[in-house]
Amino acid sequence: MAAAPKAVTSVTIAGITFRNVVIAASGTFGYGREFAGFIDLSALGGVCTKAVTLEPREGNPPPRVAETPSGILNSIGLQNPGLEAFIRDELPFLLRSGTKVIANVAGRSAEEYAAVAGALGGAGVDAVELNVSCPNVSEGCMAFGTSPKATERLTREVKEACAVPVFVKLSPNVSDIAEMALAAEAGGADAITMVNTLLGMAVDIKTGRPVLGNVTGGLSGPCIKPVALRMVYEVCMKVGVPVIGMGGIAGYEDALEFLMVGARAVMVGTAGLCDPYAHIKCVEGLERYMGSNGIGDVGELVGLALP
Amino acid sequence: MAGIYACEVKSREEIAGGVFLMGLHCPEIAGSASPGQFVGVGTGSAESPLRRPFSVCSADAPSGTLTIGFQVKGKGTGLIAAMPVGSRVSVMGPLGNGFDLGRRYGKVAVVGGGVGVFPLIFLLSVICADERHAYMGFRDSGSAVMLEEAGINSESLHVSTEDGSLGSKGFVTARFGEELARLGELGPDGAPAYEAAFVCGPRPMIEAAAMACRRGGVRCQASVEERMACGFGACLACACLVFRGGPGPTYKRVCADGPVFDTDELFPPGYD
Repeated sequence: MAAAPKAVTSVTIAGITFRNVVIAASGTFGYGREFAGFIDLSALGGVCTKAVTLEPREGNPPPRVAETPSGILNSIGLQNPGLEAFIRDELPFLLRSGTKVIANVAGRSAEEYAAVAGALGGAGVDAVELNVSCPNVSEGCMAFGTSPKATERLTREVKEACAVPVFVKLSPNVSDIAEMALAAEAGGADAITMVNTLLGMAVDIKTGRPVLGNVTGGLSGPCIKPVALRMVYEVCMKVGVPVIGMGGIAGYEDALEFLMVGARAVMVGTAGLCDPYAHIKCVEGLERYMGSNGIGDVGELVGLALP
Repeated sequence: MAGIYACEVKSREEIAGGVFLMGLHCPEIAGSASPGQFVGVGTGSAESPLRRPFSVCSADAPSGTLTIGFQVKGKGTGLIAAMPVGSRVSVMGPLGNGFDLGRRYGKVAVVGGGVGVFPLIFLLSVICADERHAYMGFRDSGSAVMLEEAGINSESLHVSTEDGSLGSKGFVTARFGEELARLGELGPDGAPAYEAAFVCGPRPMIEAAAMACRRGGVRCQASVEERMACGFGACLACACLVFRGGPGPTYKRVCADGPVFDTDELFPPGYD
């Protein structure tokens, strides 16, 4: 008896073929080294790095994290060693790891985004992800991502400066996320990644003071999944460019939901902080699901829940 | 190298109000953990997704038993404290860098405050030192823990409570500072009272102990605490300002760069 043909678990987005649809989300995976102590990075679809800025950033004062029901608030504040040190000290390891590398790029100005994205594109990353959605810094980022005009203009400027595909990571802290997605698409985005964290806060009732040193933080984890899923659904109905979905994915079932509302791939973030094997478990769960449901190509699942 | 293990809860005891000592069967971590290292313990509840970081209090390689000590502070620690003997808990470890114990010491001091005594109990049981002086401070007699263990593994034990209900009245760091000065005067000129001090407790206590050590010329290492997420260095949540290899301070990760730091890195010369 002939063996059944092996199911297709890979996906091609913006010309980049990811081994599978599970990508590590920015800000929750460092630059890969710490996770490499637990898992084989080449078994992932890809890795999206912690944000890179032109100059080093110190980040926000602690406490930087607070647990909330089924979620986590963080206010790291884009701590990173800066573009030059990233390319010199961190990127070579990731490029050798055998996985696709998406570099998350942040900045205070369009010029900074363009300079960082351009340099990273030339340094060997497979794609850049424009962080127009970090809620924890006072300049740039969400200021771009909450204005359709600014998102479109920034995307266009970075596209001109960058030789590799440009993904735009959207913030959920807007009244109409589809409008933002359309703006990114109009600016030439090769893909949309969504969503970043929801702006939130927590108060310590013993002291009467905010828990986080930066007062507010970004909420992630299972508690935001229904919101994120609804937003991916709304965007997938409106845009033509591929969408990579994320927000509270803790297991393969969650990943399936995002695929079914139209995401071509998913990112797993917070779950990996609690269990560094979470991404791999998600990959394996999807493969099992495809096997037991006779799915020959993961693409068959994409958009099943769309009207 | 840290791993994740499903460990059986072998024992669980409330040794003071809200303070628990828990024995876990985990040969992998028990065989490799060193004092000052910690483990990340899962709460078993999706509602409290983050692991809780707890210092290792003892690690017995032959029996494979790892003991952790912790205080119930909120929902997550409450869930862990409620895990019955015989149940299984997810434990990640050993994590972080412990105290520098890679050599033989002369006379050393350990200074612990409250539940900060747990890693020091482990240290006292394994350190190679000519003489070990333990300084243990608590709020009151009801919150004093691990005194028997501290007594067995030290040549001299000083207990302080803030209200004077047990041992000397006042902060343990005051007692430590007095002893440091007294021993310094007794010894040969210019010789510090201790070769090293190992400290764990609330931040103000660490600072006071570090300043006493600086005055007395004693090298001081402290295990510090910060709100933590992953525990293995990926998320940068547990930031701590550290003066190391540069003019100004930079944020280091308590989980992966610490939790033990030389106190000169936390409070640089000129700080006081």
